Amino acid sequence: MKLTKAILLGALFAVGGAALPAQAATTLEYWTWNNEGDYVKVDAAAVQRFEAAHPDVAVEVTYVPYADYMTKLKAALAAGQPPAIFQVPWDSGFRDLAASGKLAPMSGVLANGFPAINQSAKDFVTLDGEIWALPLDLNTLQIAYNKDAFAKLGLAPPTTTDELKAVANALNDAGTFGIALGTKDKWAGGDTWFAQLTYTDPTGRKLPDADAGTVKWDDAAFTAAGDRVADLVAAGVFAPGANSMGAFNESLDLFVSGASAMFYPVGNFISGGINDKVAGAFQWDLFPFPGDAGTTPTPTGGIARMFALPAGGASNDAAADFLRTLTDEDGAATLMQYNFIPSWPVDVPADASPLYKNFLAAQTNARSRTIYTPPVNAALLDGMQAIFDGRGRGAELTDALAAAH
Amino acid sequence: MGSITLKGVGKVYAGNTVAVNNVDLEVKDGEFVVFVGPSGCGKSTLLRMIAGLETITSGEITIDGQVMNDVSPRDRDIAMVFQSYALYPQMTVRENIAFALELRKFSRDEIKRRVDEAARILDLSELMDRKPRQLSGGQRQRVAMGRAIVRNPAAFLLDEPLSNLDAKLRVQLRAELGRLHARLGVTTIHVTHDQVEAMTLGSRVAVFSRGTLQQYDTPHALYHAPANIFVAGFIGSPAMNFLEASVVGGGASLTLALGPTRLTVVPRSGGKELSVGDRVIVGVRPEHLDWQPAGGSGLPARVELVEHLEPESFIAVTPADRSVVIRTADDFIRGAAIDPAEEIRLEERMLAVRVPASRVPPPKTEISLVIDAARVQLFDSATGAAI
Amino acid sequence: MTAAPLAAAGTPMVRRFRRRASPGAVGLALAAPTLCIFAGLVAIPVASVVVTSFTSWTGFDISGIGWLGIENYAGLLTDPIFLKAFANTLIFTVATTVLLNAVGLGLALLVNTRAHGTAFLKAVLFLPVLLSPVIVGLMWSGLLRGVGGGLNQLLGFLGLIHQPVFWLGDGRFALAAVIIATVWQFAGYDMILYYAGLQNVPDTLLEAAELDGARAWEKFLHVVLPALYHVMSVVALLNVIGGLRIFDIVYVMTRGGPSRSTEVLATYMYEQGFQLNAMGVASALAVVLIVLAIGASALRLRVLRHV
Repeated sequence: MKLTKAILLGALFAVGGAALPAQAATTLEYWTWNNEGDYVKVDAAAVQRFEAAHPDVAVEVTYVPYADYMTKLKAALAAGQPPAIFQVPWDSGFRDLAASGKLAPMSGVLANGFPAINQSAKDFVTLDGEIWALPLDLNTLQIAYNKDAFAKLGLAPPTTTDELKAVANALNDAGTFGIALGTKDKWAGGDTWFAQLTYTDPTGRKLPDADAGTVKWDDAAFTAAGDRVADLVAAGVFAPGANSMGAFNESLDLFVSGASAMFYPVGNFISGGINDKVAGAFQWDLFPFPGDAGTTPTPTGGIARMFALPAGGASNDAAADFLRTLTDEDGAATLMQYNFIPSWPVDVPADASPLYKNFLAAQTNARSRTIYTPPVNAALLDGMQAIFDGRGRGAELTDALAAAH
Repeated sequence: MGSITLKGVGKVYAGNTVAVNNVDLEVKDGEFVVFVGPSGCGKSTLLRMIAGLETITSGEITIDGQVMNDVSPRDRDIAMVFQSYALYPQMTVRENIAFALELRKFSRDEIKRRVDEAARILDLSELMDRKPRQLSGGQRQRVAMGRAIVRNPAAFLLDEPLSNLDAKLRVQLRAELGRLHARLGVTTIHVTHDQVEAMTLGSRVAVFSRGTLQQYDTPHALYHAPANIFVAGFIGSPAMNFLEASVVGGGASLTLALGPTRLTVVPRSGGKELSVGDRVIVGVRPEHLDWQPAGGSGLPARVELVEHLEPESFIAVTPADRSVVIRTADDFIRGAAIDPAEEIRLEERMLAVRVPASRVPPPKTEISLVIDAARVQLFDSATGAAI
Repeated sequence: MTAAPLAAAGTPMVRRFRRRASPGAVGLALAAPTLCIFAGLVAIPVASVVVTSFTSWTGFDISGIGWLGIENYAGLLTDPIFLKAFANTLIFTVATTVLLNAVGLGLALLVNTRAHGTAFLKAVLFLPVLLSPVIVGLMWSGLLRGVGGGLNQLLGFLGLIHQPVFWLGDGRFALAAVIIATVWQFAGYDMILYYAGLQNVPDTLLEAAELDGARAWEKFLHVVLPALYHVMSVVALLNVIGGLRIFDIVYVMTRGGPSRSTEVLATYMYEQGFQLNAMGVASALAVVLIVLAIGASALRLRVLRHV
């Protein structure tokens, strides 16, 4: 289509003197996999404002299903025809992408006309001293709970592991499951481990250090995190059959139907989806995954959406301008309007919902939930499935992590 | 040990298609009976009903006095040879022949004895370890026979066993079948559409047409005293000629008018009484016609075709007088679905004459056709039944 | 554009070619178009996969490729996930092939009775074949759900279970569940092939066996089954190859989990290639699959030669 347009324009010029139609001379292709929920509205608002300010540039949003996203992006990059702006994954695949030389360095770009991105978010996208993507917004993972179900049994949100077990026991006795968790997609199982790691490694340094090779993957903190999850499984804290449920399918259904009174992992990115499904049937709120008594409840989190530009892209200036539109004052307002958390400091609107305020508050001390070494990440997710299947504990898990490194 | 009796046996398919119509017939123990008729006449269906492969919609079939209507094929103690031979492709000749005995739990020694005996009789000993696909058509036919005889059944049912073979082999195996029957003496029903096969093999022959038994008799009787025009036309090659005539003089001997020619015949005693003015069909075989040069006392005719064969040739002639009507057996098959395009139009019909090769008339000449009045057979002009 | 001069020159050239060329060369020339298509669509892609399997390549940039020799293969031999996936693939392939043949043949015999309603039955039984494996996977996932799944409801109603069984989340059942879903989807396909094969079983052979004294199962054993031998070998080969490359149903139902209990070579290949960006390892896995498939084909030819 681009080619057709170019030929058409060329032909018009060749004929000579023909009046150019009032249409964009440049089209920016923009790839994302977020084709549902409020991100669509965020994108649409940015496109509208950008095109109004740049009459000669059009933005064409292309939704590529998440399952095919990396395959298609790789093919486009390898073929030398990448989109002008593209979403990149926050998981271990990002490191390979950044190392491939196919992404444009962003340090210079972000220094010019962008808000000051949080340092922790910048760290996420930095490799070899260079920033490779724009972190647009952040998420935090906490446990959602059914306030009505808790109130009926006189339960309060637990703040320690023991309280969590007690709450789960009380719920189970009343015929209700504990935390609905779907580990069929594997990643959600990993998040229970990251959640415990915030307590077994109070420094928060061991994960990046292990990725960097300065800490061993069978470190006691890692093993202890696995053991804690195994203990929670054995104590009946989770709804049974975790491995048979998708992260946001069957497990969410359990929570929405009331069969489970808790649901994990919940971030701002899914809160709208939960609200839609619960549809006012009960009140719900969030609490961080608890740890030992005397420790500060600490959620995990990271970047939700991030965007990169192609190395040497012809329209990278225009593309950077579009990213500026996403992150300018109006952009931030749009994000907050839909309960997304910008990756830079913002003033919380006075009319923000309690849930949103909760997200923002949790974000301030959120811990990483990413392993950047792909085989280790794979071993973690497998090991967690084994733990949720009642087979194995922390030692088996970290043996596998060490072996995978 | 192997008599088969059919009483009023019939088969009607859904949609009221009558395949076999009320057949009464008895096959004596040890007899070799042939069912013959054109394709679609019901002869194979009847054979399959005897075998138990087709249900019987009316009547009764007994083997050795025992009613078989509801007895399963495997318990009827009969063996069948199929036109396609139906040999088990994955088994060797030996396994094919032994199969029925193994299913019937014969002892190993007994199986070996019987199979070797069958192989010897049928000259199959050299082929015992081959698979059917490695055999010629004639060899396969012999294996199929071996499979039948090894069981020593009450009767053999042979369904066109020779029709997949070339002409020469067919003649040879026909003779072998005859010898085999003479040797084993097992009751045999042989189905064929080939009247020569029927005449040479059968001690009695049952002629079928359109599901109905037309005549059941010895070959000699079929030839010389056919029960009706169908049998008369079916048996013998070339077929019997049929001419329409009218009775012009009665008495002990009838005078018939064939156009201008008069023919004096003596009707069979006990036949239908004929009187002057009646129409009648005169049947005369090609060998009972002769010719003289034109102007003789016979029926004036014209030679249309000559088939030179030795020692006897055939000529096809048309009567000069177009009022002489030639009929065919098909004209008398009620409801026969004859394709109008296939039907030989009246004016194109010819008479076949068998003459010694030494005195064939030249084609396209006028001759005088002499009918051997003593050998003609008369048929009812309406029903085709013999008079 | 080039067609005209070629055509004009064609006749004398062909004549000269004929005079000189050996019959083998003529055959080669005639097969050339097919060989070109084969090379383009099969040989070259397969060769590139084989070459890639000896390299380290992340799939981004061909300039970033590095030669590894047999390292990817050696790595697989000590990779417990590969060994698990390999074993699971063999179990899955053997189980689905045996079950598909048994069920397919059984259904074919059923619809071959030509009783009333078999035409309808045939259509219904073939229907799952037309569904996307993704749909089938989702359907079975729903049926096998721990809470609210149809199977658990049925078993609970019958009083056979008192706690929900998490069929897909339990390492003991997941592989069997995936096998059953696959058999459910493709049994209709085998049925149609066997049904076609049954049409070629001569009626007279069955009648001959009947007269020889064979009972129903003896007829099946000695007449029907041998007549289906060729069909069976084709069906089995198709099932084996289909089993070796199974992906979608497994991916949808279990993602290869829990803990790799349903991991098969194709899902592991996908993970290595597209999630871990290890194209070299993924290619080595593809080569293993190709070798297994070729082995199955060769085995079939050997077996058939002795029939």
